[in-house]
Amino acid sequence: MGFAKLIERLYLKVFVGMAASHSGISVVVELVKNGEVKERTTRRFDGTEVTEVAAFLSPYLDESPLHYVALLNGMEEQGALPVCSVRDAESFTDISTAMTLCPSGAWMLYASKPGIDAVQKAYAPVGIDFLFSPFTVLERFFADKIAAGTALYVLAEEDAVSSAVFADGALLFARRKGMAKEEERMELEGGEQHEGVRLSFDLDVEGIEEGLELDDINAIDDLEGIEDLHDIEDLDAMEDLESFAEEEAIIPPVRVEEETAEEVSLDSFNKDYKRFQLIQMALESYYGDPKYDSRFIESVYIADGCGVGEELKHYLEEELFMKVYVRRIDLAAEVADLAKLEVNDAL
Amino acid sequence: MRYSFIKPRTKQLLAPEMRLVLFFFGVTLLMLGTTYLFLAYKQYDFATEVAEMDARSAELNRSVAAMNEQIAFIEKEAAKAEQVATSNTVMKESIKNLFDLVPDRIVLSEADLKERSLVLYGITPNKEVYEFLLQAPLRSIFHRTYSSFYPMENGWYRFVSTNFLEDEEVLQ
Repeated sequence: MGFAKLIERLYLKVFVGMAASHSGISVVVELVKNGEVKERTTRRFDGTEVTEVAAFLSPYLDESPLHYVALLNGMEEQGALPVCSVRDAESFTDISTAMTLCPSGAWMLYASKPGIDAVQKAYAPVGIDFLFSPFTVLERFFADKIAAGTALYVLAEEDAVSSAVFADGALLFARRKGMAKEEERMELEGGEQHEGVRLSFDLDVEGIEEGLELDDINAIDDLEGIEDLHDIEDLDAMEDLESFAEEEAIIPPVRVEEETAEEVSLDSFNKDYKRFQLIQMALESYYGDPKYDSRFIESVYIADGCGVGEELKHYLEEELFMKVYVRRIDLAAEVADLAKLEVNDAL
Repeated sequence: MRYSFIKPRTKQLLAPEMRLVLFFFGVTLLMLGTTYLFLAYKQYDFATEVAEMDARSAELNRSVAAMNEQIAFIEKEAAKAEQVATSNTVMKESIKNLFDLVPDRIVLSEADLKERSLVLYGITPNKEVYEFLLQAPLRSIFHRTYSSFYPMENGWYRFVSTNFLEDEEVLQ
């Protein structure tokens, strides 16, 4: 103990927190000496090129031999269960190839072992020291709320939504779903419930981006060749071509830029709706599955790690009649804090 | 680990160069320490050996002293023996000389030789023979000479000659 404290006093510690998504990697670097943060740097890398991150981190990691790199586990094959014994956990899901943790002795975190190996391999240029579950982040982030009362807690990441129900500090239910995978699933199922909404958005976007498709103009197919157009009156008879000309004239080049901003807004709107659907599905699973201790939930706390829009809040309030509280979370910073906690526990 | 699915990698607190430097420092210190311990042991060993040698030297000195005493005693004894031998030799010579002094015509019956005196008993044909042939040499040897004569039936004389040496000339 004394020797560890001495080493801690002698050496600077470097804590790196990382949270990755399909669009980029957020990195937080903290240089800590005697428990005090001397320097803090944040950086966002577009894309998932780990070598760029490794090059960025290299000078920081060279600062001290006591450097710890922590990553938020973003894999799909992970979750949390309201039991802590492997035998009980088997009734919820197959964890034969999973690593498990019972941080508080009351509930279990699990993650696929091959998935963990894949993550470690993918981040080999950087080197990973800690891999944290999003549910750990969620529990620590809402520690003040989780201790008392029953509510749904949601960690909204760019690629996934982690939902958990806590009642007086005890986990009752947890579910993590990826955005992309769920979208694919819904497309395959062709769910009527959501198709109309998505279609209306798709039609709008296509209309803005592409205008009318030439394939839609059936009159052109009727023409045998350009020789059939004997005079200009023949063209007037073709209503489809007329409308095509009108549409083309309507779309000025300047309007394309304005519509790009609108497209971003629509994309955000879509994502919020998808998140809402994932939360709704999680609640349906919670209420519908007899394995879980179902309790009525009227509040939802959202840890916003990706900048969710107001639409998600509105959906939850209007569709599910829930009280919604949104709190912004810096995932990489939370991960770095967890790394500090782990290191301090180890000392 | 409480929250992490993986354990942190082993942290090397010292850079390889520093480890190399410390290794050589360590080896140097080890060698110095070993040399110090070796020298300290040797010093202790020498000190022990010196103490043993001192003790042995003292013992030898004591032995030499005893032997010197023995030698002195032996020399003293030898001197005594030599003195005795010399005395015996002197005495032998004296006796021989004494008997050589006695002429053929005088017969000694007894001779009592002491340290400072000589008493002779014998017979002589007459006093003159005695006085000239025996008393004269005795007088030259001894400081004092007394003679007594006793006539015998056959005309000869028994005599007793008592001779003394003075103290300063006593034979050693």
